[in-house]
Amino acid sequence: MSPSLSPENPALVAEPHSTNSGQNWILLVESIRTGESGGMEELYRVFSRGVRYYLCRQLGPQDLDDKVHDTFLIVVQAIKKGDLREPERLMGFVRTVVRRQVAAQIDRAMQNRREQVDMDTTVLVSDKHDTPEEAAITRQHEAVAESVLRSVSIRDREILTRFYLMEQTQEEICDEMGLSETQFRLLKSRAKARFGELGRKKLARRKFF
Amino acid sequence: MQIDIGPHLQEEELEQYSMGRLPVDRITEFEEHFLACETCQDQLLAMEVFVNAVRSASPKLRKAARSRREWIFAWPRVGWVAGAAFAVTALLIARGWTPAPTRVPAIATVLLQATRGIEGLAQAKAAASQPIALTIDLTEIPVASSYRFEIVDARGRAALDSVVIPANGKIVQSVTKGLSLGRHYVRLYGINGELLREFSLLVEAQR
Repeated sequence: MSPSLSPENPALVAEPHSTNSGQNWILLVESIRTGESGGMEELYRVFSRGVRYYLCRQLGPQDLDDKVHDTFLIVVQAIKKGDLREPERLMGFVRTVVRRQVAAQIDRAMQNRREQVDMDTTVLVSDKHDTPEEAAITRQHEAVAESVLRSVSIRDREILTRFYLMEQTQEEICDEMGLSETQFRLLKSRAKARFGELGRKKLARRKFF
Repeated sequence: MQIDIGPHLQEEELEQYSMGRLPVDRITEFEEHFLACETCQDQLLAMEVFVNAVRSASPKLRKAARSRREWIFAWPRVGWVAGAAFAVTALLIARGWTPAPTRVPAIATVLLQATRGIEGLAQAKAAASQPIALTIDLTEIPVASSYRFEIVDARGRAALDSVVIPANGKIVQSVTKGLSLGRHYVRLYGINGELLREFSLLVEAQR
C-alpha cells in the first residue's frame, strides 16, 4: 500500500504522482510543526512499517517498539523545533534519523559489552538462536527452498547456488557457464516463482489440518 | 490521494540490497523509498526469505551431490570393477547366453529292511545331503492308522521326528534335506509308543 494523506485534512491531500511531490512533504511537515494531530498520524502511518522493518533488519526484534517510538519522537521534536531545514526532504531526514538510531544502538551495545565484561563475563551472554516459532518458520522456508532446488536441473541448481550462496556476479556465472543474460534472469525468476508457489501450497495445505 | 514517493524499486535492486550488494550510490535513494513504500517492503521481505532459504538449502544439496561424486572418484577400483562386471553381463546377455539351470538333486528311495544278527548284509545306504525317501514295508508289523517315525544319529541326536500314515502296506517318509555323514538309526514306533522296528542307515559322502 502506498502512503496517502488523510482525507479528513484536505490541506495535506496531494494528487497522485504529482510532479510537485516535495510540496506534499512540506504540507505534512507544516501540519506536524503546528501540532495538528492529523499530521502526526499521517507521519506515523506512512513511516511506521518501514522504520520497524529497517530497525528489525538491522538490530533484531528486541525492544523494537521502543526503538520505533524513539525514532518518531526524534523526528517530531526536530520538526517542531524547526531543525528540519528542507521539509521537502522529509524522507531523507527520516532515513538519517533511523540510521543514526541504528548506529547509536550498536555503539551502546559495544559500550555495554566493554563495561560489563570487566564486571562479569556472564552478564551479556544471550541466546542468539531463533525462538521455537522462528525456527519452525525457518525450517519451513528451507524445506520449500530444498524442494525448489531439487525440482530444477543440476545445472540450474548450480547457477542458483553460485549466485545466492557463493555470491558470484551475474557476469561471472554467465561467462563461466556459457549463459546469456536472458537465460540467467529467466532461471532466477522461475526459481523464485516456484518458491512462492510451493510456499503458498504448503501453507494452504496446513490450513486444513 | 497519494503522496508521490517515486517509482517502485526494481527487483534486481531488491535482490542486491537483500544480499548487501547494492551499489553505495544507490542506497540512499533506495532506502528513502523503501521506508515509505509498503509494496516494496513486502517485495524485499519476500526476496530476503527466498535468498536466505536458498542459502541455507544449497549447501546441503551441494554436500550431498559432492559426497556422491567423491565416493565414485575416491574408489576408482570399485567403480571400474563394477563397470567391467556390468559390461561382461551385458555382453553375455547380448550373445544369448543363459546360465545353466540349477540341478535339482534327485530323490533317492531307500528301502529299509529289518536285519538281525549279521550287520551289513542288508545295509541301507544313502548319500549325504541328498533328498531321500525312506520306505518301510509293513509286512509283519502291527497294523495301525499312524506311526511315529524317528531318525537319530550315532550319538542318539534326533534328526527327524514325525507322524506318518501308512499307504498301500508301506510307509514312505521323505527327508528333503538329506542326512549328515555317518551312521543313523531309523525307528518306527506304534501308537502307544512301543518300538516296532529299528533300521540302520549308513550315510556316505556323495560320489
